[in-house]
Amino acid sequence: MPDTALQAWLEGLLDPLRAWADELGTQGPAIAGALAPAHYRGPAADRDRAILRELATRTDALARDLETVWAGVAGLVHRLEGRR
Amino acid sequence: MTGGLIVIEPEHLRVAAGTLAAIGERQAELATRLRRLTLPPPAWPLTAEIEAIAGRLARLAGDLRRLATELLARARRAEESQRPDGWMPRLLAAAPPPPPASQELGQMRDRVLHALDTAAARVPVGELELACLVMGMIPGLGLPFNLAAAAIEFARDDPGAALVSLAAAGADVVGLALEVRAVREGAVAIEAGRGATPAGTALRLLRDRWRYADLPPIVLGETLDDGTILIRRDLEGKDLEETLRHEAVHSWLRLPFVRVVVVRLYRASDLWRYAEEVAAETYATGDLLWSVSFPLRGGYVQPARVVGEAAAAAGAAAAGAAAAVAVRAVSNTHHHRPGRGR
Repeated sequence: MPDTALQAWLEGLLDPLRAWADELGTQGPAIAGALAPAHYRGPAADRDRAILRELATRTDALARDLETVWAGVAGLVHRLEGRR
Repeated sequence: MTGGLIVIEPEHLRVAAGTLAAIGERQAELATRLRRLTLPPPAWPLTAEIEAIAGRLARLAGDLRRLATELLARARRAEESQRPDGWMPRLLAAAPPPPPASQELGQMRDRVLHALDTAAARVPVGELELACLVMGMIPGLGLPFNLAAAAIEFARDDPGAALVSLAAAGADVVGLALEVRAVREGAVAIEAGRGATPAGTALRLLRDRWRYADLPPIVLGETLDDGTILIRRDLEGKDLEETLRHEAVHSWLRLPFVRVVVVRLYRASDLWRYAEEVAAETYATGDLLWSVSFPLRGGYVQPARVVGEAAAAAGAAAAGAAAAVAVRAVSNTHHHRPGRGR
């Protein structure tokens, strides 16, 4: 693939990757707070909320990973621009 | 049969399950889109990274959807076991027996309660109602008498008079709530995890009146018509403390003299049930704002019926205020009861 075509293709990836990372970033708090409004007490409630916290943490981590990929793609685009 | 269930709201579980399922679906979709990205050779290191992210995202989506399914199943079980018809809690055979000193105290209490019940049964209802009305005027001590009067009047199918007494009791509740708050902050001590024993003057009444029981999964505690409190066996710590406090209020309202009529009121009147649950939850959590909506969220009452009864009570209270003035005006000269009607 010629550099210009590759660069254009990678540039087209930047927006979706950013949008997906942002979307995952908003999902973390939504998952952690899913049971917050319920007056839900007892051992089962504690267990459920712990599970939700763990799932939210994993979601946040994935959002950060996607941001890292986005930064990598942006770096590639920058390098291709420099080569031309 | 029972009063004062603390329940998990199935609707909240269902909403949470919906939220989690929607997020799970979206994450699965994102994972699929990420996997479809095939980067050209210069970007191969990123491809491996994207593959790994897609894999983790797909697993996360699966976990979210499994949790959503479990919450939905729990909501269904909660609805099935909530206030089942004809259900009677079974006491656990393994429940530890109370210590000897406590047993003697319990027997003495039972004898006293039996004597009080017998005495109450022999008092003519009309005279008892009049006595309650008079005692209900004593500042600071009026609540049980006004409640008793309301209950008696309700029992003899005079809802107008009962609502006037309820309105009078409402003012007493405010004072009681303040006292209860003080007791809660100053005198309650729970030994979490070791078969908690409430301490403090006001809560000593409660000491021998609760047992662990085999309750449905969603029920943390409940109070029987005789004031006995049943607590789910695996409760401990803060949950036990709050549940005991909640049920204690129901238990206190089921002491002799007022027990029969209070139980009937709890079953028949949404306004009463609402007030009793708010008082109990306020005492349990110390959060009045939360407690005001607790009976609605828990499905204890129908909002329209509460509003209807409250409107009727407000109208009756206006008439009752005039009647109360008249009672005081004539109480030095004769003993009739103007304004309430028989």
